[in-house]
Amino acid sequence: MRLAVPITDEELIAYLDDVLDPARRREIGIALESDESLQHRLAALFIDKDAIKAAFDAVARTAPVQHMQQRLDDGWEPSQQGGLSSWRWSRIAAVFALGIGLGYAGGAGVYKSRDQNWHEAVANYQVLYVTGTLASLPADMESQRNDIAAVSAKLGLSITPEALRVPGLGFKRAQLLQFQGRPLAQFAYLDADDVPVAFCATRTGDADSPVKTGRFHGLPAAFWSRGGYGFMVIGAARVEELEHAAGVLAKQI
Amino acid sequence: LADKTDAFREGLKELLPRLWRFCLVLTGNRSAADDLTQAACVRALERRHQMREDTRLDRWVFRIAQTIWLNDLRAAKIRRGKGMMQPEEADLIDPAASAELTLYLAQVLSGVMELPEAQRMVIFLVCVEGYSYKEAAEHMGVPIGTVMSRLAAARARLSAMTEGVPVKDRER
Repeated sequence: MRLAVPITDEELIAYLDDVLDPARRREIGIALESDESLQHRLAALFIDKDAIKAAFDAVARTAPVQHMQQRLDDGWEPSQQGGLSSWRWSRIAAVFALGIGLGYAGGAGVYKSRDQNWHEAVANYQVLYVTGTLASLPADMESQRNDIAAVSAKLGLSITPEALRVPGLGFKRAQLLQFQGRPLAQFAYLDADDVPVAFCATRTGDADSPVKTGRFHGLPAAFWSRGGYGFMVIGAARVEELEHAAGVLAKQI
Repeated sequence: LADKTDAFREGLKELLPRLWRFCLVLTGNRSAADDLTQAACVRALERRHQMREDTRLDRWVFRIAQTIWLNDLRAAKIRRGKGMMQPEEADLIDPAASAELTLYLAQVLSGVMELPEAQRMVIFLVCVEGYSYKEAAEHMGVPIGTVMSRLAAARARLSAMTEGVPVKDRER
């Protein structure tokens, strides 16, 4: 039997998956009784779905997620009394994220010791940043100003929105993170090519040192120390750009 | 809100094995799957307030991982000169998993992972995660007809691959 409307492979898979509308399903069923070439075409689309499911279920059982599960158990600050503002929430999420970064250095699943230096911890976190992380943030000057003031107070270092202005970098967000129990301020920017760049500061107690450049987890960075605080500008940008930004920030803060 | 927070965290924790598996299907590479799982968790936490009440957490987080992969990581990987993602077979199945797999299941797994990326994902969503054609189309942002033609192409390849494997060897 030949059908007025030819049967496509798409219809045959819908027939096999039993999602075809009943009228067409009947037509194809009838055609299959006599049409040998259609039978061959149907057979050529048959797959062992149970086997596929079983194989992938075995894969899921061996997913290397123990450390991440641990982080979800332990690396989370208990919520405060009452409600959490979205501001506070995003900071807690960020602390958690930094924890993940520490546990999952380079994605290799190697659990690093907690005494690695803060530059590496920040780099671990920064590699997760993509343009989309920051591009969609609203440019609300008022809330940015409030966030900067809150982060600055927690860090114990006076940092104004004006001091954070860097030619060529668009300011996006201030976040309070934490490293080994100490506050760590992160100021996020997008550069002219929309590459995420972070300026970070934390109390280190280190002696003053001028701006130097280096790489942490593959990301170029410019870092310096002053007044017992460590500072770093880091991102997947040109190192000259980062060094320049570091120079500007070192003068302003 | 605290309870809701906890439920979200717990949900994410339970989802991790399946999320990682989803990321493995996307990336074809275990260490890239680790990175992508991590990035998707971070973004899900940052955006959890955008998730609608009637949305399933698993599908929402899968969508996040897919977006990160398409927009950012895959592009970066290609830019770094590694070319299109072809699954690295030796890297795909770790010894613990392969111990669980019969030869036949290991072949089935390799067969799916060797499919072109779009076909691989649609087979995975429909056969493993139980998406309807329409849900798969929504997830991938393509018309349902595209999903069906990808499925048909994928099934033809997979069917040819297992043709001739005696039924007794398919036992598991």
